[in-house]
Amino acid sequence: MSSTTPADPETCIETAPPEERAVWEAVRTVEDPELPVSIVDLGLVYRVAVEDGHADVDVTLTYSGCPARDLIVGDVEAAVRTVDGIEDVTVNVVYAPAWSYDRITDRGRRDLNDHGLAVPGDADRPDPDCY
Amino acid sequence: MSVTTDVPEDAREAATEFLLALADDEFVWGHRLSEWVARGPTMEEDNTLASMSQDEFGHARLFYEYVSGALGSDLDDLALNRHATERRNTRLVEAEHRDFADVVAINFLYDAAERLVLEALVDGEATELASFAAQAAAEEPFHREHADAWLDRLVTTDEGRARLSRAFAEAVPRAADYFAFDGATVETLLDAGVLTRGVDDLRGEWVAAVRARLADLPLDLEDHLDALDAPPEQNGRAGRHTDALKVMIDELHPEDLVGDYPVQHYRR
Repeated sequence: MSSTTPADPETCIETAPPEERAVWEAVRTVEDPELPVSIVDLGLVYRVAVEDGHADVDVTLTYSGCPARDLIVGDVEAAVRTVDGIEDVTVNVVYAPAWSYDRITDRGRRDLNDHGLAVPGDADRPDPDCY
Repeated sequence: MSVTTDVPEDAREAATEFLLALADDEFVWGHRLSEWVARGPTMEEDNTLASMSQDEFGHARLFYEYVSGALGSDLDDLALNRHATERRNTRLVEAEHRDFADVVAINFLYDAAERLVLEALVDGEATELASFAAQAAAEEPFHREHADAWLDRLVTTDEGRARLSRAFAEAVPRAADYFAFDGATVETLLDAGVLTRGVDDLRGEWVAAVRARLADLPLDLEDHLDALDAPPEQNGRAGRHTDALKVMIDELHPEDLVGDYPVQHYRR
């Protein structure tokens, strides 16, 4: 478990070897239980590693009392198990480094905006589109 | 996430004892806050106190899970299945509340002390524990803002001042055990670098901060504040609690509760 700053998810996905990229893509299908936004695009996934068919996924939460914790962990496990060649998965909940709004991807910002939520500090989209 | 991989073996038992006490603080305080849901003075307060309660349970969970492996136990067992006499929380957080002033006074005293302990863990050498403490510490400023805002607000009326004075007069003596951790345990944690400041040092800073803030308020508490750094009347850190804690814990385990978990593990 590293406390160094994880790279931005888009870079992780682009530079990952094919096996890990498939796991990233699977994890990207998992949405926050309270928002129609991928947990990858919320910046909650810090690391994906695959070795001998075993996937290791580091996930953080926006705050420690998050009641969706078990749901998110279960959804990630289920999603990763669907990947060809993956036999087992371990999801680690980590708190270093602390999550912040800066970790939300452009796609995540767009999805949050579409949902009617503004991301603090996002000068390009100060107001959400409300319908 | 475990004390068994994060803390050197000779300090593991001390770390486990110490963190169980912090987890019990958060668990018990989370329960007291939750009792206010739908009974707060405003709807906004109902929401706020529910969120604060959720935060405290989250922190309790971090610390319980961190030590659970070393104790051959699990989260639910540690949180739910330990009798009141096994708890090591400060007596400050276990008292039953008479009115909203209790929330404000206890929250103020408790969060001011907790901040110092968390920061002393953040700077420590147990890196995983430090990350948990940092996460908890990052969430606590909102609780302190809440206490500060209500202190300023409640002292604007005679009734508010009277209620706050009563709440502080009762809470301060109970807060005196917050830093009354077992001396050998703290020494071990300091030697191992898990904790970076001794409890006497932390208590001194806490007492000064509490005195400074309360001196700014139109409350006549001077006679009561000496109890802050006096030896505690009873020490929750040593398992000596008031009946209020037993009532709370027993409520989690009513005798007629149907089901075999977690009741079957309830140790009496």
